[in-house]
Amino acid sequence: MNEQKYLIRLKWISILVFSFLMIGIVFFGKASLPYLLQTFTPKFLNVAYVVSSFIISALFISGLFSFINRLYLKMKHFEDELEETNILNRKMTEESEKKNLTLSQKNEELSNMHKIIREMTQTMDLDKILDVILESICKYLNYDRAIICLIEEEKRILKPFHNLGVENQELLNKTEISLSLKDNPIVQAVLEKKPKILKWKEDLNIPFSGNVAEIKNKPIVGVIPLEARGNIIGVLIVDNSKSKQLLEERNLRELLVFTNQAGLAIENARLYETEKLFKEQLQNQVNLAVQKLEQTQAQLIQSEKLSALGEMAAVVSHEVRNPLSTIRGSAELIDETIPADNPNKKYSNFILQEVDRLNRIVTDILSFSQIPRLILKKTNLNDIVDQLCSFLQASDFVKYDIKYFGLLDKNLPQVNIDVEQLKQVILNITQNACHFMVNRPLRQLEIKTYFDDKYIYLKISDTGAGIPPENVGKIFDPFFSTKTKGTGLGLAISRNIINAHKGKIIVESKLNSGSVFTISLPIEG
Amino acid sequence: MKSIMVVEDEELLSQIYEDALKGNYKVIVFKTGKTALQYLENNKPDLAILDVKLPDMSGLKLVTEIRRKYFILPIIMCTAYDTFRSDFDLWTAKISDYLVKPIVLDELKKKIKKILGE
Ligand SMILES: Nc1ncnc2c1ncn2[C@@H]1O[C@H](COP(=O)(O)OP(=O)(O)OP(=O)(O)O)[C@@H](O)[C@H]1O
Ligand SMILES: [Mg+2]
Repeated sequence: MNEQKYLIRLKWISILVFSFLMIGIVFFGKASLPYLLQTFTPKFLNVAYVVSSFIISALFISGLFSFINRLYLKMKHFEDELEETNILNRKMTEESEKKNLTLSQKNEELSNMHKIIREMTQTMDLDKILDVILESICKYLNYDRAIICLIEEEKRILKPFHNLGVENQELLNKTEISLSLKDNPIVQAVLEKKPKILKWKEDLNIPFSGNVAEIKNKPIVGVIPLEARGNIIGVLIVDNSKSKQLLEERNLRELLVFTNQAGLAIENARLYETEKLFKEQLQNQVNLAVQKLEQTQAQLIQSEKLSALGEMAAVVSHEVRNPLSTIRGSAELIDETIPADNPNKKYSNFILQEVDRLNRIVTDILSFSQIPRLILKKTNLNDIVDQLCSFLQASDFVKYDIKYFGLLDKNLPQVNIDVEQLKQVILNITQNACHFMVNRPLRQLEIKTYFDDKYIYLKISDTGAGIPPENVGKIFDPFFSTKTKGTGLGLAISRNIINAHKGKIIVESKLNSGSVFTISLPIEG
Repeated sequence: MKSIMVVEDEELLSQIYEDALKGNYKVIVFKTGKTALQYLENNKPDLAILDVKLPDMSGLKLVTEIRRKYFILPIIMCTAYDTFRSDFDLWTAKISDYLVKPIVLDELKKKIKKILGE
C-alpha cells in the first residue's frame, strides 16, 4: 500500500518537474534571446543553447534520479523490515505453537497425575491401591510393565509385591533381590534413594520372556525408590521391554512426582491395614472382655443379691431364732410340768409344733439365700437314693400309699458331691412327688440313675397331678407354690444346690399324668 | 455338782437355760464375753455354753480367748444359723459341739450329758 502511494507520487512529481523544466528553458531562452543575439553569433548560440539545456536537464535529471533513488532505497528498507518482522512473526508463532504443545502435554501429564492420585486416595485397600497405581502408570504414562517391590525388613530383601504386564508370574514370584547385592543397580537406586534409568541387562533380575537381544543395553528400565515418611519402603520398576521406547530424564520426573504419592499411599494403606487389623483385634478383645464382664456381672449381681439376701437372712434368722428359742424353751419347760392327761398338754404341744414350723421356714429362707457351701466327697449317688428311700419307705410312701420303683445303675460312677445337700434335693423332689400324687388313681414313684461319658443322671418320675404348662417356668422360682402350706422354696433351694455342683435340673410334665425331674451332675469335678 | 457356764446376752433365753439346767448343775450366767473371761480367771467350770453372737465379741473370738487360758474346757456353741456344718468346722473352731437355735432343751441336755460323760 505504502509502496504504491510512493510510486504514484513519484510519477506525478517527475512529470511536473520535467514540464517545469521545459517551460523554464523555453521561457528563459525566449527572454534572453535578443541580448544574446547582440553578443554571440547565432551559430554559437545555438550550440551553447543546446549544450546548456543538456547540462541543465542532466543536472535536473540527476537530481531527480538521486531523489528517486533515495526514495527507492527508503522503500526497499521498509520492505526488508517488513520481511524481517514477517519472519520473526512466523518464528514466534511456531515457537508459541511448540510451547502450546508442551503445555498441553504437561497439562495432560498433570491431569494424569491427578487422576492417579485421586484414584489412589479413593481406596484404602492395599491390593486395590497397588492395582490402581500400576494400571495408572501403564495406562497414563505409557509403560509396558510395572513392578512394585517392597522391602522385607527382616530378610533385607526386595520382594515383588504387585505387578502389571509381567507374563511370567511364576518366575516373578520366585524373584527376590537381596539388599546386600551392592552391585545391583536396583539395589543401588534403593540405597541411594535416587531414581535411575537403567540399561537392560540380564543381571537386573527382572524376568523377561521376549527376545533379550533386542533390548539388551538399551535404557528402557526405570527404577524409582518408593519413599514414605523419609523411609524407603520399596521400589517401582517400570520398563518398555515391548515398545522398546527409550526412557529419558523427563519420564523419571513424571514418575518421581507420582511415586512420592504412591509411597505414601502404600504406607497409608499398610498403616490402615495394620490399624484395621489392630482395631479388629482390639474389637474382638473388647467384645470378649465385655462378654466376660457381662457374665461376671450377671454372676456378681446374682451372688450379690444372694449375699445381700444371705446377710439379711442371717440377721433375720438370728433375730427370729433367739425369741423362738425362748418360746420353745418356755413351752418345753411348761410341757414338762403338765401331766399327760391334762387337756392343756395339747396347747403346749401346739406351741412346740408351730415353733418348729416357723423355724423350718426360717431355715428354708436361710438356705435359699445362701450360696450353698459344698462339702464335696466322692460318693455313689445310688447309696444316697437307697438311704433316703429306705427311710421314705417307712414313712411317706406308706403314708401316701405309694409304689416305689428303684432302677439304679450298678455301674454308676462316683461323683464329687455334698451328700447332705443332695439328700435335701432328692427329698424335696420326692416329697413334692408324693404330695402331688395324693388322691390320684395311680401312685407310682420311679427313681432311675444312669450315666454317659460326662454326666450322671438322676430321674425322679411320678404319676401325679402334673404341672400346668403356664407354671412349668415358675416352679423353680423362690416362693412359688401351689400348696396351701408350701413356702415354695423346695425347688428353688434344690436348683441352687445342683447349680453349685455345676449340674442341671430340668422338669418335664404332663398335666394329669405326671412329672419327671431329671438332675445331671458332671462326673469330672 | 458340776458347774456350767452360760454366756448368752438374750435375757429371757439365759433364764430358760438356767431353769432347764439348774436341777442337775450349778449354772452361772454371763451376758458378755468380757465378764465370762473374768470369771474364768479364778474359776474352772466343767462346761461352757456360748452364744455365737455376743454384744462385745463374737462367740468364736471368745472361744479363742478361753482357749488361751483354759484349754480343756468343753464348749457347746449355740448359733442362729448354720455356722458349723461338719466335724472339721468344729475342730477348727476348737469346740465340742453345737446347737442351732431354736434350742431343743432335750437335745441340749443330751449333749451336755454326753460331753460330761454322765
Ligand atoms: N411333682 C410335682 N408335681 C406337680 N407339681 C409340682 C411337683 N413338684 C413341684 N410342683 C409344683 O412346683 C411348686 C413349687 O415346688 P416347691 O417344692 O418349690 O415348693 P412347695 O413344694 O410348694 O413348697 P415347699 O417345698 O417349700 O414346702 C409346687 O407348689 C407345685 O406347684
Ligand atoms: Mg416342696
